[in-house]
Amino acid sequence: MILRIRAGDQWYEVEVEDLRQRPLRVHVAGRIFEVWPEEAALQPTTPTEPPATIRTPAAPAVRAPQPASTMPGEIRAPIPGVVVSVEVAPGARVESGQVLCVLEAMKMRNPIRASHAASVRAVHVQPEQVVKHGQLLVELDV
Amino acid sequence: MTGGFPAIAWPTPGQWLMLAVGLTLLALAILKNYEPSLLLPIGFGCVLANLPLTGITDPEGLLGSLYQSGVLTEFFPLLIFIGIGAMIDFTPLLAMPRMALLGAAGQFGIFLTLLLAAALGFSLEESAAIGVIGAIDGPTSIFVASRLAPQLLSPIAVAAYSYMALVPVIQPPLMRLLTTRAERRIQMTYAPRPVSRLTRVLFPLLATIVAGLLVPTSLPLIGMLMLGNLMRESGVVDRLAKSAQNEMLNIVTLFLGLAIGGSMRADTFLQRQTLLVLALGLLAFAFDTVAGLLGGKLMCALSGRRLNPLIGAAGISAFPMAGRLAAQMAQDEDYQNFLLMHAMGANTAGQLGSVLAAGLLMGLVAVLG
Repeated sequence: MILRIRAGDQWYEVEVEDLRQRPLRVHVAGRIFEVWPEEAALQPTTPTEPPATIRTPAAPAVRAPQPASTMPGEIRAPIPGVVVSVEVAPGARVESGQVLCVLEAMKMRNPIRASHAASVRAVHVQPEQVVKHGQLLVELDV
Repeated sequence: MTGGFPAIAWPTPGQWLMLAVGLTLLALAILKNYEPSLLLPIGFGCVLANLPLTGITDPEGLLGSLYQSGVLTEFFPLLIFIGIGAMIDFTPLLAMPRMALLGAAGQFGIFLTLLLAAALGFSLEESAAIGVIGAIDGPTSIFVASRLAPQLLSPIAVAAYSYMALVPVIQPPLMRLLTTRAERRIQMTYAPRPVSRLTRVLFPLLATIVAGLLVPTSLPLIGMLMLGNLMRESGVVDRLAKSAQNEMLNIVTLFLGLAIGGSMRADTFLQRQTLLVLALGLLAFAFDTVAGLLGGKLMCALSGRRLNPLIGAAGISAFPMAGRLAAQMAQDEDYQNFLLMHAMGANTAGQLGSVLAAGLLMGLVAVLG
């Protein structure tokens, strides 16, 4: 899709390849940029809005909520497994991409990371707890 | 060294070289943590076997009798398969039966390598045994080699087990080469489909009977694999299932590693053939990975880009390393993409596929040979 965006007095024609792709690949004046949408709000439900901020291509990933999430800020188990460690406590500030807890499944350790920078509202699991797919692990402030 | 003692208790140049090989394997295990539970006993066995005048590799010696009684009789690989069967959870495969296609795709390299080895002058039996290395399934490789080409068993076992340690080194470049970044980022959400206990108990039974009827030569391997799995899924022999996948697997792996290391004697191992087997095995591994990835790409296209082709690389065997690696590669591209269950579905299919492919090969060789 092609968007027209004004920055200051200048209009840019911006082509977005696939709105669901992360990072978004955006063509501007013949160059391709990889862009991470800043917040969960940037979903295909508001397709006419351009990305809120543009970061350098290698910027740490900021992601839309994962499919298992029902509410923004809820971090749920993407696969069943055993919590081997919890890395954060309620009230802690976390950066986007920071490890919240580690979920072991099929003898592989899967770090569960924060989808956005926030403070931790609640931690619902403890080490050695068996969790099901979609079970609430950690809640972040939105 | 065949018969009698050398004149002085000083290693020959060949033995020095093999001592260096053994120490290198030990260094990889201890310093690099590459599959230490395999490479440590193999490396140590290799060191033991190349010290002169010990008699340790003679048929009555420690390593010699381990080799005779466990490797040549096929007991060790088969006992290991009971443990692997008890470890494998087939639920991801049963919930996503289409993953079986990836387990089949991942075996094509075996047949390509067979042709190449035959072109290089290996006999049909030897070529088949070399091709099986490509599945990176140690027990199956040893089983096939001890049947078809016992003279090549040592290099084949060394190749199969050392390449298993190299899965995270050899596969990723091929995976990156053959997939685009967008493909590696395809998210596959875990969609739990309930698999009933009845299905999980019937599967090992049916698989044994069907494989036994269709590919009779695969029966010892698939039978032991499924015995272990039945112990796991029936839930009535938890203690046996736990012992099989922990204590028994560990002990037999230790003995097998020692015996394989012990077979790396300078006089029989240092031959041009060994290098050829190692090179062809590596090629077979690469071919299998490529075949699996191409299968993954095909299924990706057919599924409307809903299948991440990385999991195709898990369609070789190398259980569970290849499955974990595919999941890890996807997570490195996108930390919220958890492919583990899908990758394990493909990986368990690959485990079945390599056993069946090996059985097919042995049947083919019996017919043609």
